[in-house]
Amino acid sequence: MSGRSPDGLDVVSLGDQATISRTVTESDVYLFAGLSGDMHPDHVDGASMRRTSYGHRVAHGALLVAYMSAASARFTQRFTAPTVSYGYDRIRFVRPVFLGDTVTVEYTISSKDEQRVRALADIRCTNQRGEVVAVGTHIMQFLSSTRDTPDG
Amino acid sequence: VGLTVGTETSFSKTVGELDVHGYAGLSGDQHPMHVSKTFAGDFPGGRRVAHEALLVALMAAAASRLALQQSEPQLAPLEIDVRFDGRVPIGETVTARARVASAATSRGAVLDVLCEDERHVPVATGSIVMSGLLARDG
Repeated sequence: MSGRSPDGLDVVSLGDQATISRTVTESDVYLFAGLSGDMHPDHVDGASMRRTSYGHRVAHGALLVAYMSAASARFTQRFTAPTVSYGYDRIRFVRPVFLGDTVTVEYTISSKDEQRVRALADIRCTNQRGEVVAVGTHIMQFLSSTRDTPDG
Repeated sequence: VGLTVGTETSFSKTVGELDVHGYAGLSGDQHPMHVSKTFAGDFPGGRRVAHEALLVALMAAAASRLALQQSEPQLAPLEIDVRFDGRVPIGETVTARARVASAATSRGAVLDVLCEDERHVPVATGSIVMSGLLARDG
């Protein structure tokens, strides 16, 4: 450890990780449909989905983004430096997630931008068979201890 | 077939208590900035704010509505890029917009998406690639 106070980027190291797992239930998907306003039949019309190659209703891709943000929040619990979510790059939904699937999100610090005081994290979501269902990169913005807001 | 370049859709939603606490519950993200009035009170603005990722949900919903409006139900979000430009306090009305920027890339149609607050200031901006993932026979 350096003698500096545990503030800003000093509190994270490459490879640091947080993991969460969630079983996707019908109530999750219907609550998500209601609060997002996304009532696409892929998520809420089982009869229609039985006529597709998937055969069943699938979770919203953006529900996986909710799990990504939860993994990020879990990660930030290990330190007190204030952070905000600056954004996500190249989130890709590569496989469907069905009701009853269990999604595990691995959030791993992959690089640090000392200039802009940001940490980048690789995010990998897998299902209960270990198949990747979504990937992406999260950008975590550290705020100064004077609690100002990020300026981009 | 496919989405028409330049077409757009939008919808507005007042982000309420249930949205934020519901989102906290289903995501598992219980950060005090979202669920604690006393914690949030110490920060600029002084009010609890919605989860940033909730704005992704609203933008994806706008994209999904646009596909349905143009009778392309097989199109679903494949890729998302987003930047969070501002925070949304509970009680704020957010408008989510999606506009077709290009209809035929190798990956699919690219939509410009954003969420803006009541003063029309963007709070999230990004792009969503819509791709046909489902084979339907009915």
